[in-house]
Amino acid sequence: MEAQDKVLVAKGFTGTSHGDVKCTECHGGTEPAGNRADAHRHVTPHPSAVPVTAGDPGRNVCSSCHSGITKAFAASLHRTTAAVSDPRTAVVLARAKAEDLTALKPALENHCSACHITGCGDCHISRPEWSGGGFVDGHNLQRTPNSITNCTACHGSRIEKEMMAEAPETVEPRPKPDVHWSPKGMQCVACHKESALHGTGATVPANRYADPLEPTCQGCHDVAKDGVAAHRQHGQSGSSRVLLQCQVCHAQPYNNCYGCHVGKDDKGLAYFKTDKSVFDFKIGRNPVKTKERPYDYVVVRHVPVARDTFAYYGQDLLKNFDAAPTFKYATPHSIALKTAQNASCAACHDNPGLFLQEKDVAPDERAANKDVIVRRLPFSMGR
Amino acid sequence: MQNDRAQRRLGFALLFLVIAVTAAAMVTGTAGCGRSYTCIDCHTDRERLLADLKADPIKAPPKSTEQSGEG
Repeated sequence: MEAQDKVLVAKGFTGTSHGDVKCTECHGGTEPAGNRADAHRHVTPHPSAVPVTAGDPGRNVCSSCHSGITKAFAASLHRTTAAVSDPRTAVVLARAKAEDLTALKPALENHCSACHITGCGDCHISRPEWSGGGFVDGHNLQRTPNSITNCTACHGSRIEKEMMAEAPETVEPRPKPDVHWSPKGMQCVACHKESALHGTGATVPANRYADPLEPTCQGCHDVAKDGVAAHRQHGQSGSSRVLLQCQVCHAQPYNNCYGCHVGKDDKGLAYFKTDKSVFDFKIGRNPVKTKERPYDYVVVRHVPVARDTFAYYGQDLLKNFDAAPTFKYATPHSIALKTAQNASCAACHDNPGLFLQEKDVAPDERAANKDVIVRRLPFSMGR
Repeated sequence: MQNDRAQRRLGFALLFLVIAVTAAAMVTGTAGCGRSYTCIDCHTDRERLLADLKADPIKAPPKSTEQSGEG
């Protein structure tokens, strides 16, 4: 997007409720002015990202009308990305010892917080800065974020590629788009409701899977009454002794990343490098069984962490690397009614390649994945 | 004589008026060295933005050339 189009305001904007407000009330700066420099002196391009009161991210220019939302959102995972980048609560810190937390703090700040949502405007006015910014619709306020210009602008490498079937050409058979996306035409917000995206301010979950507001398949699909034999056999409401996560039968291959390494170049600019990304499908044992997610088997995704991910910041900073698996509980957005593994009982039971076995895991990651690796394959249907 | 005085007074009054109007215009930012614009004047005019950015481009934030792979 060209620079002039990023900041081009639609002529009709001034007739809207938000366009009634003087530009300078939110953005600062000076008007009228004779030149760009004068007009933009003390301008705040993204005012919703700047607290009105220093140190209180819950109060920004939107708070005068939407204070309930701005207050809740300030603490939400979507804004803070605390599970990814907070030097106190980031999930990756489970792999580190207390003595290394100080050395890891700048690494998290430099590399893991780059995709923060900075303010309300990132979803409701502009494309996120992370993806280059620019108005979505001439500064007109979007009531809900657009799946393509906003959501997948950040959630691109996994969610977008899976949902829109953008797997590399080498992946065979070709995956179909997630059925919710096409042909159903559902937008992200159809499942990811406002309360989950904004947060409620009540409690802040440690990660997205611990958030009771996150969507579930059962929220729409009442599998207890649909009469499908496989649902009785392996679903929560059935009599099964082996519970499967819905995605075990209904997900197509999804993206896995390996070997992320971070550092700064000779100009002091932060960068990351990942070794490879692979579309694959693996069923593993559930490493995070909870009351809400009691499944015995789930699909697992390789996350890009490596023992030496943070080597630029110090030697062996992830001394507890084996404390968490590298193949993690996953909810890919590659859902289809019919998949290779649910074509028949034998399509799964007699297909060991679907299961994460020791041979699929790099030797130096086997200890980390001891609770995920499947050691006892399902019985063969041809027995 | 009285006419001269009256004309001089009128002259001073006019001069004062011109100075006052100029000063007021300078304070409100609409003074004579070219036109002044509101935010909307420029930000709804693509051609003006294009010309302005061509004359004085905004530098994109620097990104490391080392970066590779998917984040």
